[in-house]
Amino acid sequence: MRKSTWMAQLERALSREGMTGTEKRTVLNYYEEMYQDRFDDGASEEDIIKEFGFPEDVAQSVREESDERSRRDNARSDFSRGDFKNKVGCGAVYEETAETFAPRNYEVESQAYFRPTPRYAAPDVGSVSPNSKVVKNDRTSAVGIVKTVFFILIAITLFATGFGLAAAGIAVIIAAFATIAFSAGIWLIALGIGLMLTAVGCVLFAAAIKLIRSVFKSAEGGAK
Amino acid sequence: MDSQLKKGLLEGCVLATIRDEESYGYKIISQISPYVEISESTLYPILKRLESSGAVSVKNRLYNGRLRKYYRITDIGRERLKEFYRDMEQMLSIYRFLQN
Repeated sequence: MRKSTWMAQLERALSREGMTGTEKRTVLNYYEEMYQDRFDDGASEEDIIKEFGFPEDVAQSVREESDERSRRDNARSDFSRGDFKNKVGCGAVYEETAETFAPRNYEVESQAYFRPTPRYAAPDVGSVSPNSKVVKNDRTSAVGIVKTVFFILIAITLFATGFGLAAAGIAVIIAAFATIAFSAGIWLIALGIGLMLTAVGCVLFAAAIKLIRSVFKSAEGGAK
Repeated sequence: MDSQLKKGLLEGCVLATIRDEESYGYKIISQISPYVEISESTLYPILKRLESSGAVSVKNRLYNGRLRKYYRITDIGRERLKEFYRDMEQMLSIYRFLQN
């Protein structure tokens, strides 16, 4: 087999193994360099290719080594991530903390306790001390409801204003094109005003959507 | 030789060949092959591992109109080599035990 054929087969095999451009190029450069060094040392093309082995085997071993390195790096980052002191099985990690435990809707004043912080994002669990004072979170209180309603009204106003301005802007743009025959200057001014109104309207519209989303998100969080 | 054992030995061998001066791939293979079987395919992952762990640094230099990669041992590599020597001493004592 010729060297060019072997290198082409290696490139294809590396692609089949899912190698990216940079990684693939690194491997190909490595074998190119090895080939040249052996050739300069007096080896024949045939002997060198024989020494290299099958391109598929080479690509496979490179892939396996790359996977092993990724596994090692992931294992290392799992270990260093988080500040756990005691590792518990089932994927959960527990840490001793002086913070007060806060179930979803209540704030608790209590001493230090264990708060599990599972990696799989399960909901927090814990216990409330019998002597602890419990204060209801304001998300579900009357003040919270009034706040939510207020923000919804603001959002509706922004929505309507934005929509109105955008519509007005579009109308002005259309009217501007109607005046183009009379004066280019007036046309430009009208067009500019129209575009500005449309842009402001769109911004208000987007702000209203964002506000509505955040209100509903916090309402959902309170309900949980 | 057991493949896992060989992997570990080869890493030490590669570090030992570049302990005193930098070297390149083919030269590393030439120096190690009289003692333990090694090929381009075997060497590549070893060099990648050593590079990614910071045990060796790599530089491209022009040689006969082409680029050639030169590998140089780092402080991390030297520490790794010291550990390897300690492991070898331990292996020697295990070997003597097995012989007796």
